[in-house]
Amino acid sequence: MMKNIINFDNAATTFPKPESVKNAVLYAIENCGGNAGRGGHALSMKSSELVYQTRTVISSFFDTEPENVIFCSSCTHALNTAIKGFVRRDMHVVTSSLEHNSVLRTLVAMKKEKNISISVVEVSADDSVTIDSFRRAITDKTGAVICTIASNVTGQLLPIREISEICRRKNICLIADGAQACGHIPISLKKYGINILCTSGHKGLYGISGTGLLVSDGKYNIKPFMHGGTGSVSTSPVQPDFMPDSLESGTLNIPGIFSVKAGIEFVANTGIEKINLFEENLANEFINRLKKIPDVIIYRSDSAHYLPVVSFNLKNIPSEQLSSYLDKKGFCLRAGLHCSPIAHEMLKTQTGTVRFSPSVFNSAVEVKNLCYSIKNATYTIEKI
Amino acid sequence: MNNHSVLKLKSYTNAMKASSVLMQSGIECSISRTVTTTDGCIYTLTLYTDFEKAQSILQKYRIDYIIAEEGAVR
Repeated sequence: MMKNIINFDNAATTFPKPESVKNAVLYAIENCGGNAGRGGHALSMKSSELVYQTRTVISSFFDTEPENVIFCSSCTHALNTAIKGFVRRDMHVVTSSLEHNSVLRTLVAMKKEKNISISVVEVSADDSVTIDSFRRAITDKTGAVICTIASNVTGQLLPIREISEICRRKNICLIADGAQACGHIPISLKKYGINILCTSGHKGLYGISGTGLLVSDGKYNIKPFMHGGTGSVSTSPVQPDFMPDSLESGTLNIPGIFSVKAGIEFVANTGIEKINLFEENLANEFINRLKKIPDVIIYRSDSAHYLPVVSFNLKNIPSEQLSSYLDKKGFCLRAGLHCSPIAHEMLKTQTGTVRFSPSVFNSAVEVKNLCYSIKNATYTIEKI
Repeated sequence: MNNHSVLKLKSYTNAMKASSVLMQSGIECSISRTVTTTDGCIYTLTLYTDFEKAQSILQKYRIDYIIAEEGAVR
């Protein structure tokens, strides 16, 4: 492990990983050398068994069926699979002003290619205003609501249960981006009324990079945008029409998949509420200390609800410059636009913010030391 | 007549799910890859008991299967 480096950029990728995740990857590399779902020899069957075990762990975690779990290479891959596979030509979709480019760019591309229309709902600090805005944006042509559960910039939580209730009543598919929320709040597809949940495996679920998940409740058909070998119905030149094979062409990332299983088990065994409370305490500690530093701007509202993610700036110091200064002091925090330009447009932070995002492996002492460095930055960095 | 029954399932996930729901109901079964097929990777489920009950469970869970061999098991 890299010494003297403190990672507060866990919203990008959690690091370090739990020991059990490292062991799972090693186990998969040493024992699962076969292609899952292809062939009947011992190596293949071992890999197949391991992949299925992972499907059951994930389906149980998100409250759906094992065949509705699709392994992807990232949340972006999962969102592209869901959006391009569900949204049809000329369809109207509703999204939010806090979306990541993985949603925004995909929708903009579909506008050009499939003539879809997009309504972007401004997310308010007041949930009732946001809910009303979603309700008003939906028309008779709306086929899907595609939105994040929590902003990757500020950590603001959207009222996803209420949005899902609107969708359910109007028979609209809800595709949720759970990249930030998964692993922080318990998400049951049934209880939340989410039809398709997309998430990364390497953030709050503590798997390794190169992993993502699409988890469906099975209600809506998702057409594959990728075709190829699935191991099943091989004589047919047509892609299988059943899940998960319809959406899983090509060899699966077995070590990555097994890492996600171990990561989810780590989260479940530690306790998702316990993890979130611990990280919330660190975020509150951070905010309380930040507030004592002159010229700090914190992008939070008292009336909104947040995950333990904090976006901030120092007046007249570019976010990249502050991040670079903190990096030299051994702290990793992400600066800039966080691939979410529309969220920054809403925050009026077009040049970006610095984002603090702790994990279960950070400590209050590390937060204290970070704040000490931020305070020093206020008189060390030359202001613009 | 065989003392077991064999079901063909179209994917490993289907076979594992079938096996899982049957085992939960106390029905013993085992998975292997179908050797005599030209349909790609078809997996088979071999049942040693409760064939009729097994079929009704699979239908309840909407798991598609083809009966390859029907043995004398009840």
